[in-house]
Formats: sequence, C-alpha cells, structure tokens
Amino acid sequence: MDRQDRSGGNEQPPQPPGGADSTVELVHRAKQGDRDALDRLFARYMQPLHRFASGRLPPWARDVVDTDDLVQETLLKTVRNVGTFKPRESGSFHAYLRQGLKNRIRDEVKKAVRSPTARGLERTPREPGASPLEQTIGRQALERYERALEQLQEDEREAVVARIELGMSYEEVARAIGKPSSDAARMMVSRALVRLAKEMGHER
Amino acid sequence: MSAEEKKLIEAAVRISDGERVDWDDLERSVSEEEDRAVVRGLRVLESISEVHRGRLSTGRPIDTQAPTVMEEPSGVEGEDGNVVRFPAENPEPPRNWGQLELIEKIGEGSFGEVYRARDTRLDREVALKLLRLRSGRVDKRATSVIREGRLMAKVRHPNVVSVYGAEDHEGCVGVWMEFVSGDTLEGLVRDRGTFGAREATLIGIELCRALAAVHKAGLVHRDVKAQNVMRAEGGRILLMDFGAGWDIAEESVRSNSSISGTPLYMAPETFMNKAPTVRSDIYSLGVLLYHLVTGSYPVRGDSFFGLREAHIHHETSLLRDERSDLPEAFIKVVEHALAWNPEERFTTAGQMEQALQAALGVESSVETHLTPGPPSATRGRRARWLQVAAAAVAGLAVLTGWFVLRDRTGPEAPPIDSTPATAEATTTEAAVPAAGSYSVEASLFRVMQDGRRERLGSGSRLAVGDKLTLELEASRALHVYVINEDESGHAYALFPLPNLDLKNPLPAGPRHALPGTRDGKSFSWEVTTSGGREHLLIVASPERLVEFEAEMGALPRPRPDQVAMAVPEEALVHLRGLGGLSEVPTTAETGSAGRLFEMADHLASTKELVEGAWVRQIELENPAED
Repeated sequence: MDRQDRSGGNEQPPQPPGGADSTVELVHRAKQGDRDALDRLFARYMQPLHRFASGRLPPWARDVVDTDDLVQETLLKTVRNVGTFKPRESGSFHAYLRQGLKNRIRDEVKKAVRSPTARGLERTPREPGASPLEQTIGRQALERYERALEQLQEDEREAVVARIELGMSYEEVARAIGKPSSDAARMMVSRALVRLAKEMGHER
Repeated sequence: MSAEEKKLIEAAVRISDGERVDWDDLERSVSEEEDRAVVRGLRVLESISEVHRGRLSTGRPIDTQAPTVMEEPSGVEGEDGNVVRFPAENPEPPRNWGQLELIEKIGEGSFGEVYRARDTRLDREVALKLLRLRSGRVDKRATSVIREGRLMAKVRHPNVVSVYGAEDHEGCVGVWMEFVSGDTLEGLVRDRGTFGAREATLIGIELCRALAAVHKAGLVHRDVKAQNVMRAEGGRILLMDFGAGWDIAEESVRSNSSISGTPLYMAPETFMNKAPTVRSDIYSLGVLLYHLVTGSYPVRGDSFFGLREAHIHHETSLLRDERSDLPEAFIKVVEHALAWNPEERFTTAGQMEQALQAALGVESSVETHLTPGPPSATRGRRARWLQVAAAAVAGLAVLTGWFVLRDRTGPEAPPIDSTPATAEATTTEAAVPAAGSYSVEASLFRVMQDGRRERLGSGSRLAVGDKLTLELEASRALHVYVINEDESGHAYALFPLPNLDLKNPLPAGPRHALPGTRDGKSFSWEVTTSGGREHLLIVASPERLVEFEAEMGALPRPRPDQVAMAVPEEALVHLRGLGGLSEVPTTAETGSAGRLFEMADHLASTKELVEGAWVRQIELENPAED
C-alpha cells in the first residue's frame, strides 16, 4: 500500500499553508493577539472552509451571501471563542470550526430567504433549496451522513472532518487528534470512514 | 481482520487519499449484506470527499426545468473560491457594453445575465451573455467565458448558434451571439407535451449535423440537452451554449478533470470521471431524443449520486417499454445512442444521422401510397410541396384523409355564400371514425370591398387585388400551415405569419380566420399578380410538423402594407400570386357573428372526421390579364 502522505489532493505542497505549526498552537497564539498566527490560520483555513461552505450553500444563495465574509467571520469567532472550547490532547478544533460554519450557513440561508433583496433574483426559491452536496448525494444520504458522524468517537469525527471535509494533510490530522505519525492518522481516518459507512448502512 | 474487512479498509484508505476505488472489484469481493451496506456507505463518502475536494462540479440542478442558455456550471468553487455575481444592491442593468446597446434582459443565472442587445455598428440584434466581475478580483470564470466564446466562434453551422465575439469591457466580460427568437425544446416539451417519433427524428438529424460540426472543430459539446436546443421561429433547430465545451486535444491533459454537464444527460462513463468524448455527446443526444418522446429520462435519480448508482447498476428504462407505439427503427437508433458501453454507440454524429435518415426512410415508404396522384399535367411541378407535406405527415399515426380538390376548369366562380364548398372535391373518404379522431371544417373566402364574403372552391377565378381568407374550425388544437404555389413554381408561406397574432397551434373550438389579426385588425391575403393557376396547400396536424416548418421558413412571406400596384416591375416575378397581405374591410365585422354561427350550422354536414393529419390542395384560376 502506498504510504506517502497526501494533503488536499495529489499535488502535495511541502508544508501546509500557514506553516508547519499545529493549528492548536496557532489558535492559542492568535487568541493572545499574535497577528502572524492569525494570518497563518487564515492561510490554512480560508480555502478549505470556502469549499466546505460552497458545498453546503444552495447555488442561488451564493448570489446574496458573501461566502468569503461568512468564512472569515466564522474563523475569527472560533478563534475568539477558543477559550470556551477545551482543546484536549485529542483535539476537536476542526469539528468545532465545522459546526460553527454549519450554523452560520444555516442562519445566513434563513436570512437570505427572508431578505427582500433576494426576491428579485430568478434562482431564489421559496424554500432554502438544495446545496451542491445535497444535489450530489441526495438530501437523505446527507442527513444519514450527519447523523452517523455524530455517532463516531470525538477523535474519529475530528479525523474525518479534518481530512475529508477540510482536506488537511495527514500530518495536521495527526497533530489535531494526537497521533504520533501521519501513517497513524491515515489509518485512523480510514477506520473512521468504515465505521461511518457502517453507521450509515445501519440506518437504511 | 477478515479479507472483506481488509478490502473495505483499503477502499477507505483510497477515499481518504483521494484516489479512485475499483467499486466493481470491491462489490465482487463482498458477499454479506452487511458488507454490501458498508460499500454503499463508502460510495457516498467518496462523493462527499470529492465535493469537498472541489472535484465534482454539481451545481447544475438535477431539476431540468431550470432556465436554459443561461445556465452555467456553478457548483463547487474553484481554487480561488471567487463567486461571480451581480451585487444584489445594484439591480440596475448596464445600458451599454462596448458597441452593444442593451435592450432587455432575457435570462439570468448565478454567473450573470443574458440580454437582447443591438450591435450599433452593424445594426443587428444580438444576444449578449454578460458576466460581471467583482472589483479587484481576478476571476477564473472570466477566462472561461472568454474561452467559451473563442470555442463557439470556431463553429459555423446553420444548426449551431453563431458566436460573434467575446471581450472584456471595463471589468465586464461578455460573449455576444446570434439572437434567436424561439423556444427551447425543453420549453416545448413542458408547454406542449411530448413529440412524435417523426418530429424527434427530424430534430435529431439536425442536431447530428450540429454535433458533427462541433466535433469537426475539435470540440466536445459536453452539455447537449433540451434546454440547450432552440427551435427558432420558422423551425430551424439550433444547438447552443458551449459553457461546458472543451477541446478534444486537451482531453489527455484533463482526463481526470471535474465533471460537468447536466447529470440526467450525462453518459455513464463520465460519472466514473472519464473524460467526455464524441460518444458521450452522442449518448446525451440519445437522452435528448428519449426525453422528447417521453418527457422522461432513460436513467433516473434524485441526486447526482443516485444517478451514478443507477448507471453503475445499468438501471435503464427502455424506450420500448415507455413508448411501445413508436416505430421500431426510431427506438433502435435511440437505444444504439444510449448504449452503456461507449464502444457500442455510434462512432460519429454522422453515423447517427445516417441511422436516423434510414429510420425516416422506413416511415416514408408509407408515403408512396398516401400521396395522391395530382392532376397529371402538373404532377411534376407541384410534386415538391406535396412531397414535403407527405413527408411531414407520413410519420403521424394515421393519415385518413388526403384529398386533392380537382382542377375544375369551369370559369365561373361559385355564387356568393353558395353551398358549402369545402370538400366539394372528390372525397376519397375512407375515414373510419376512431378514438383520437377529430373534426375539421375549413372554407376559403374572397372578401369583397363591402365586406361581404364569397366562398371559393377549386376552380374559382381570382383577380389581382382579391383578398382571401381561410376559416378553419376544429375539435382539437391543430398546427395549420398554408402555402401558395403558382404556375411557375414560386411559393409563399401564407400561414403562420410571424407578424400576426394568430399562432400555431390554433386552439380547438372557435373558428379561426386566417391569416390572422394584428392590433385588432383582421388581415387577408391579397392577390398581387396574375397568370395561370394558384395552388393552395393547406395542412393541419395535431402534431407540429418540424420539417415542414423548416421548409416553409425558407419561403417568402406576404408583407402587410404591400400594395400590389405599387410593387416595382422587377419585383413582380417574386410577388406573384398571393404575395400581399391586406387589412380586411371592417364593414363585414358587424353582424358577422350571426352569419358565422349560421354558417357553422349549415356546414355541419360537411364536417370531416380526421385522424392524423388533414391535407387539402385547392387550385384556383388566376388568369393573366389581357
């Protein structure tokens, strides 16, 4: 089996965007006012979070919701509130960030549906409508996935979210869940995926 | 760890690594239902992973009712993550763009908007697809739109919308193209129901030609669908929107690139991340033909993933199950285009066209015994329009009535409001009333100066300045076509006329006076020149006759305000026969309702029961003036 570590896709940058420091370290430094740490967090998460948001925003909503603003604000808020979440040794920063963004998207979509500025736009439906992710796998499958994700152990969930949803490198995943190596993180993600698939299968 | 479990973990590792999973192999290696459920779950996870990697472009709605030209593969954002949009707070559209003057908005999508515009330099109407960039941003879609324009401009073909150019004006990127007035095939299916096999075949032939031109230019269209085909006024079929098009030459480079195209029309192999090819375009065309005759799709699913599953498991609804009434030859062509294995499909669009032509030929053989023998003296000359009409209606289920109103040499016109003359000809009526049959009643009138009307029949004599109108009433909605052909073979399309209000299909019930009205005024056809005989061909059909319309589209039409005597000498040859269009004297309007009613009563005995198409040819004398 190919043991090479991979980040977001087949093209592997030598370092994750924003440097090699662990996210938890960066978050804590940023919270203490370290501007550089904050910039590096942005460099690391803007793209993956943007992709995440794009997958969950109905296409029409992107005409009225600024995805960049949404992502930036969520990231800032998460960093600001970092004191209220306890970064354990296993860590759950990614899952926390993801939840924040999900909530924010849900609120924005609700707001956009009500917003009078959205009324004139052709694609604005009466109800929120399907996001690209829903269009891809179907609403039911997406709901099954979300429920199954909740059934996982915290570190399993963190591993799946960080790797599958946010495209973090195995190195970063290892740091986030407190695993000694990229290989261990890779196995963790894979086993968590099989567990998820089982949970989803049980629901059928 | 069991062998099955090991296989599942391996698949999960590949998903996590962003690599392809051999699902066929995996499915073969698990036997327990529980493991199969895990495989299904892993497939969903693979899709989720791909969406998050930006691999799948899924923004195209499964719902095919979405608007047309104006669509754009939106989906997951590109690496730069920029979104193209019109700021909601600035709904005011621009007035000008380069040399184009914007007239009205005709469509919009997440990428921007489409306008009807005027090219002030060339003084012609164009369609402008505008994409506005947010200030200070470099946008990948700008490049892709300009690229789309460049690709489309490579293709010049009567069945492909012509693109004139693509530019960036002060941060506003746009592509301008031929303005086509008409309906999309999707709109037609939605509003008027499904097509018959013959119409679908004729549309298919034109689309094969369009695709052949696209492929010849080294492109794959990638988004052939009913929303991307226009039926222009006059019947021309036009393929448009190369939003998803790309160079065949680049295929190798992009073989693992993102999926685009509308999922319901996508070939099975493109779901497996195979690059689109000529044969996947052919598959999409097969889906389009299937859709035209059924309103549905061969492979169905409520999501991208569901569709992919259905493709993987070969869950196809056969056309012969959906529409067993269709001709076998047509069904075979569609099935061939829809072969799961691309190798088993037509190799080229030309090959598919050939097969469609052959299917048409099989049907057309019916024509030989349906086509009547027109009077021998004129057989050769009029063969053309009769053939066109015969070909147009041969594909319809049954053709019960085909009448030729015989050339009556008698010089006298029937007396005013004489006995009904509609079917006074040789009625070769073999019609057996059957389910699905309908009644038609039609009369041709000369409108006199004082507004009175004189019924005309075959052999009636015309003179320059005569104004004619055709009244028609049917028990179901019909597509009606009227053509005038004179002795020398010049023909005019007399109905439908684009500048009048009366449009096909004529609704069932009320009596319609052709050619129609405009601004509340009734119009008639005017005899502008004389010489020999005029032949009036009237075709009525419950189904739209696309090929016939296309043929008619090339004919000159009478113009309103065209006064016979004012026509310059040299133009006369082109304005023979019923070339003019004039307003009917309105004096007859008063009290005409009563008369119409009376006449309807009177004509009831000649109401004809028809199934399929109804065709009449009337010969009128139009002797040269001494």
